[in-house]
Amino acid sequence: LSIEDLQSALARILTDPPGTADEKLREEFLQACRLVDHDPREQRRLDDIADLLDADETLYAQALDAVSRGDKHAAEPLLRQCAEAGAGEAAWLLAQLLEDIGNASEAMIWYQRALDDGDVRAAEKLAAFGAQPCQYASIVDKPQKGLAAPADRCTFPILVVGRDGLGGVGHLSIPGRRLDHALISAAELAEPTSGIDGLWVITDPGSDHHASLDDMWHAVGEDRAYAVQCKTLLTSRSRAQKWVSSRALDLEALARTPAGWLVVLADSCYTADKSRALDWHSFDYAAGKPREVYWFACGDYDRLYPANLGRVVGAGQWNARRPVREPIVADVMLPPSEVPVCLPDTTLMEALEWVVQSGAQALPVCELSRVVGVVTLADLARHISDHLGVPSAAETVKALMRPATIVPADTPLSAIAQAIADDGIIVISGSDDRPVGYLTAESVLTQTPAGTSTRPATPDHPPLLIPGTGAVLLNRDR
Amino acid sequence: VTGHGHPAAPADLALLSAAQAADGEIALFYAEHRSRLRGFLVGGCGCPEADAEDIIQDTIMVIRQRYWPKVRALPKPAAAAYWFRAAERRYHKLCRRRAGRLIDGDPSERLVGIAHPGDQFAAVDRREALKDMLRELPRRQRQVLWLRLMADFSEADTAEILCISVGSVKKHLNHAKERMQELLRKDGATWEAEVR
Repeated sequence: LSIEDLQSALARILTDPPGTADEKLREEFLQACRLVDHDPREQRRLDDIADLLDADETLYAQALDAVSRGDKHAAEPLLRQCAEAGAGEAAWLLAQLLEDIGNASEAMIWYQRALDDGDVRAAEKLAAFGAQPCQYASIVDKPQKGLAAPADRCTFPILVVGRDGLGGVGHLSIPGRRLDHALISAAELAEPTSGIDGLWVITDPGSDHHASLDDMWHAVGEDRAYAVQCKTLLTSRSRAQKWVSSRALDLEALARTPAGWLVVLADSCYTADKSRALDWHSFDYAAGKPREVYWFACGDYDRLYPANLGRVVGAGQWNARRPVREPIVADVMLPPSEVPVCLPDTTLMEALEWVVQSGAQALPVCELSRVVGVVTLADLARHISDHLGVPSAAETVKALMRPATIVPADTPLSAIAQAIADDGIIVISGSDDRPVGYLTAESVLTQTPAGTSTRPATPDHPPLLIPGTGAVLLNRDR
Repeated sequence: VTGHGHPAAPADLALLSAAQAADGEIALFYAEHRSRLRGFLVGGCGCPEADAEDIIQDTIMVIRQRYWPKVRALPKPAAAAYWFRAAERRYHKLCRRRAGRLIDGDPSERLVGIAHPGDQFAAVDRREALKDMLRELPRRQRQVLWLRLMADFSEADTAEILCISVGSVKKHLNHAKERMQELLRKDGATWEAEVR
């Protein structure tokens, strides 16, 4: 059996039923023309259709024009519209454009769309993305009940609740119970044991899950005292491409924010090769583990894939859960404006006065904005007591100053402990001669180095507090 | 003549006969390409048959109302390509509108079995099964396959209809053929009876 045989079989079967003569067709057409001619409403409708067709054509032509001009700013929105409309090769072009401007996550979505449409070039692109090393994520075994995370690493469980989410995908969705209960159980399980501080929910409000989530807010609010951080990341209707693009953007935001539980309400999730459905996975953030790129596919929404979900999560911008970095001097240094300085020809009495006034242990000595040394309170005091409390008015700090300890900004704090005990102040060198900051004993002791906290940074937009619950809702309807 | 029962003025009559002549041309154009377009919509795009009729009628009327002078001036295959392109666009538009409302992929469509040869309705079932086979192909590949093989458009016209490059047309066709061969190898036996 060959293509040609099939061709003839198809031709026989799928074209008009036999016996529809040209004569009859023409007659039908002319009859339809007469009907249209006497029906202004029908004419209006046809005009509307023509307008739509024209608009499509123009849009795509403009998009192609912008692409060929290299005008990315103009091309992107145009291509996006065309790609959503499935025009020509807009999806492929848009994906390339997005990749060019560094929006890889969304580019992947459009490559996926192009591939779904049969463009095999996109498969190569996607494979290339898949081959990129993923910085933090890898998949570990199913987490044990209770989720006691080993002390030396942080694991992130992901609960995937399927379309039948009230039922049994993932061992935390409890058969026969409502989704809200399942989620609360998940939160209960997570909260006390592993210090996981929130529950995040990703869903598509266009789907049935949204109603369940609304229930959940209430259930959480009425029954539970502890805070459950929830977030619906996806807002627009599920079918629109907007849905996926906003998902991509929001997921990046998500990835930057810590969450104990990531609940994905997807209709069906598969592994990257779609060979096996996902039910339950967790990501291991311990450094140095073998890494694996992870994809979720959401099968039912017009074949759109929140494909980069795993990658975005895996790309590991989960700052707050990152292994704590050793604090460096840049974390706690004082800017130059906050530290008084003296000149080499400042008299000792003046220097003493400034030191006492500023409450510092030492002053940097600057010459033309370059630090030439430091003068310490201890040295000043010793000198003055040597001269019976009356130093000569002509004596300047030049005689007393000692060489400054100058370190680069990424020096670990632990490395400068001795120097700061000796000198009282340390100069942080910048790219040129100017200091970028100073480190004093006080600043080391009083400032909490950024990056050592395990708490999340304050979000740009304050989350919405659900009244009376302590539950926090982030970006619910963005 | 006008259907309104008013006596028509001579100028109107001239216009009217010109319009009637144009309608006659369009009717020929319609009769000539209609069946291929229908095949393309149903087989190549996966359009439900009832919608295909609507799309065909709407688009030919739109062409009559607005684009006929332009289409008429085109060489023959390009004129047909123009209609195909409008129909494809229209179908896609309808799909999107519908997608906003419905869950797609009605499973019953996929559950059509292969009919017993003695089955009275076997022809219908076979048609469905064939459509399923085409459905296995990605959208563009399916469309290209149909336009090139069934509707006999040239590569350039196919590219024009689908707004893609000629190179892409070639690629899509190759992949579609490979895939069809694969499917035929798999389900070939089912089709032997049908083709012979």
